[in-house]
Amino acid sequence: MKIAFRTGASALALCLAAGFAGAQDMTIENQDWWQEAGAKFEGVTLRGVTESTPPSNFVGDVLAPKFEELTGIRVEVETTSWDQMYDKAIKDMEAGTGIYDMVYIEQDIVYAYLARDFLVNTTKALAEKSELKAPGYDEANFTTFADNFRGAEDGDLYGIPMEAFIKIYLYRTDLFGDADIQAAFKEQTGRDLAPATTHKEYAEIAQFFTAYGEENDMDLWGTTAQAHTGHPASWYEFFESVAPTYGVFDWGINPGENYGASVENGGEMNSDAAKEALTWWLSMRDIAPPESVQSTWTEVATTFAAGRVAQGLVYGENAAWIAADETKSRVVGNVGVALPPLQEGVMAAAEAGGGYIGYYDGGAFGLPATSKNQDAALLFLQFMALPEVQEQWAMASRITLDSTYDTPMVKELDEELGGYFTMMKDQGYLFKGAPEYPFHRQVLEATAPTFYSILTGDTPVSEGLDKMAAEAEAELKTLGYRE
Amino acid sequence: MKKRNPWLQTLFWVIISFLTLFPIYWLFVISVKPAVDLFSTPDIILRGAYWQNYVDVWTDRTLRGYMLNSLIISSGNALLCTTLGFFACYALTRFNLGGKESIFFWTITNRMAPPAVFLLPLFLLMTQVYRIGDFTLLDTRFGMIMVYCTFNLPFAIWTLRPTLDGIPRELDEAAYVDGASSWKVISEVVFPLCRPGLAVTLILTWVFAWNEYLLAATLTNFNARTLTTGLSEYVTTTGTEWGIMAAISVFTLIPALIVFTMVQRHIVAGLTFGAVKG
Repeated sequence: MKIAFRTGASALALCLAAGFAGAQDMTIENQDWWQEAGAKFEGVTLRGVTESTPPSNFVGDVLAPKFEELTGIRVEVETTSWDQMYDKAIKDMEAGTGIYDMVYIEQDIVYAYLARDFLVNTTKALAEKSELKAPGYDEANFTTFADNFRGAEDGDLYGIPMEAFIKIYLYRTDLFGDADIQAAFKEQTGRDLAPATTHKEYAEIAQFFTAYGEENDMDLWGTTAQAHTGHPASWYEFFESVAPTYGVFDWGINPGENYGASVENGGEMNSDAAKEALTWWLSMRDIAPPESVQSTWTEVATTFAAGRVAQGLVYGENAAWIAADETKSRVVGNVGVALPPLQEGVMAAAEAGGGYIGYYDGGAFGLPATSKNQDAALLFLQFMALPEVQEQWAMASRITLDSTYDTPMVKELDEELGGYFTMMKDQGYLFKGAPEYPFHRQVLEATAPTFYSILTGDTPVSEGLDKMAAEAEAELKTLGYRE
Repeated sequence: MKKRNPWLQTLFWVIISFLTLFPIYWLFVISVKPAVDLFSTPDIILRGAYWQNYVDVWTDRTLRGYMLNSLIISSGNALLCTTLGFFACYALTRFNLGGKESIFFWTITNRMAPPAVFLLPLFLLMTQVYRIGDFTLLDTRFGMIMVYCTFNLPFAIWTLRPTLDGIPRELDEAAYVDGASSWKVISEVVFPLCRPGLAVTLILTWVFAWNEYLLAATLTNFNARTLTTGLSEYVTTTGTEWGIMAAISVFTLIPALIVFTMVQRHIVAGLTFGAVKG
C-alpha cells in the first residue's frame, strides 16, 4: 500500500477511533467572521442527534470542538442506533420539547418530515438573515445528492448534506486478477473474467466462485446478499438496488398513475421485470455465504471485508474501511469498484433522466422547527458544509461538495479504491436516493411481511409480488393517495 | 438410602457449569478478538488475547461517564425502592388497613403492562416537570431514579411482603409492652430480622435498573445516559463493533458479580425466608 495513502486512510481511523485532534490541522478561512457571528450566542449549547456512523463521529469529535474554539458555541452530538435516533428526533419534534437543534435525516424520511412541517427552510432562513450567511458556504457547491433535501415546490434546502455515497459493485481484484482463476473461468464459461455488466455475467461469476470455494475448501462464495428474512434491509436491497437494475424504478409505484403499484393500475411492483429481478436475486442469495439470510446493510460489508465473497453490492460508506483498514478488513488493497450489472436499456433510461441504476444513499442534518437555538444552529450547519472541513471528512467514503473531489487526500484514496470517487463524481447522477414519497415507512411496513414470506420460500415470487402490489395500493388508499 | 455415585454427581455439575458459564466464556472470547478475526475465523477457542478492546473501553471518557450514571441511577433507585418498599410493606402487614389486599394487587399492576406503554407518558411528564427554569427531569439521574420506581417499587413491595409476614407480630407486641416506640420497633426489632429480604430486594432492584435499556434509551440524551444505552453507539452503519460491545458487557458484569458475591449469603436466606411459615 502506498505510504501516502496509508497516511490518509489512517487519518480517518485515528480521528474517528481515538478522538483525534484533526481540528488543529484544519484551517478555517474568515476566522474573524466566525468569531464575530458566534459572539452573539454566548452560553448557547447546540444539541444534535445522529446515527452512530464514522461521519457522525467526525462531527462530534472533530468539527464540534473546532466550531466551539472559533465561535464559543458548544455543540453536543448524541450518537445512537438508527431506530433510536428516529424515535428520539420524532418524539422531540412532535412534542415540541426542543431538545435538539439538529437532527439527522436520511433522504428516505425527509419527505415525511416535510409533510409534517418538522424542518426549517435553511435557504429561506439564510436569505432572511443575511448576517448569518457565512462566507465560504455555498449551496451551489453541493453535489446532486442535495436535491434529495429540497422542497418539492420551492426547491429550497431543508437539510444540509453531511454524508453521501453510492451503492456500488465491489469485487476482489486479487481473485479477478489471478492467472489460474482467470484460466479456469475462461475454460468454464468461454469468456474473460472481468466485473460483470449484465445480470447473466454476474450470476456466472457468482456461480463460478461459489463452486471454486467449495472445490478448494475455502470460505469463499460468489456473491453477497443483504437478504435478512425479517429485517427491512432485504426489502431495501431489492427495491433500491436490484429492481432498478431491471428497470423497475421508485419501488414500482407510479405517482403519475394515481400511485398505482400493480401492473393493472399502471405500476410495476408485480411486473414481469420485477418478478425476473426477484427470481434472479433469490438465485444469487442461495449461493451466497450462509450468513446472508441474516445480513442487513452492515453485515454485507463485514462479509466482504472478511474475504468471504468475490463480489457484491455494498454501500459505498464501507468502501474506504474495507479497502484500507487492516484492523477490520482482510482484503486491504484488493478491492475494485464497478457499476452494478444492468439489463439492456436501463443505462440509457438513467442517462436520459428517466430512471437510475442504483442507490444514492446518505443523510443530512436538518434544523427542527422546534429548536430553541435556530440562529446558532444555522451557523453550525453552514460550518459543516465549508469546503475546508471536507477533505478529512471525505476519508469515510462520503462526499457532499463538488469541490471536495479535487482535494489531495481524496485523489489519493480514489486511486486506492479503484476510482470510487471518480465514479461518484462522473456517474453519481445515474444513482438516485429514495423516491419522493412521504408514505415511505407505511408502504414498507404494509408489504414487508409478504416480502419476508417470499424470502423464506413460503410464498412463490409471482404470487408474492402480486400480493405486495395489492397491499401497497390498499395502504396508499387508506392514506388517501389513491382516490 | 441409596448412595449417589460421586462421578455422576461431578459430571452433572460439570455439565451444568458448562451450560451456565459458556455464554460468559464466549462473550469473553469475543471481547479479546480483533474485529478482523470475528467473522473470518469465527471459532470459539481462545487463541491469544487482544486486549485493545478493553483499553479502548477503559480510556473512553464517555463510556466511563455512562458507567458512573448507571452506578448512580441503579444504586439510587435500589436504595429508594427498598426503603419505600420496606415502609409500605410494614404498614400493609402490621396495620388493619381497609382493602390492603387490593392495594397490594394494585401495586403489581404497574408491572403487568409492557414498559413501552409507559414511554410516551413518562417522556411528556418528564419534559413538563420543571426543576429550575428551563431544566426538566428529562435526561437527569434524579429523573431516572424516579422513573425506575415505576416497575421496581411494586417489585420491592411484593418481594418484601413474605419477609415481613414471616416475622411474628408477637415480637412487635412484646417490644411495645416493654415501652418501645414505633420507630424503635421498626429499627431495632423488625429491620434486623428483615435483612436477608432487604438484601435480596436491594440486589434485584439494582440489577433491574442496571440492565434496563428501553426507558433509558428514550429518557436520557446527554447527561444521564447509561451504559446499556451507550452500547447502541457501537451498532453502526459501517459494522457492529462486537469486540468493543463484548468488552463493555464484561465490564457491566463485574459490578453485578461483586455485589452478588458480597451478599450471596443473604440472598439464599432471603429467598427461602417464610417458605415454611404455617
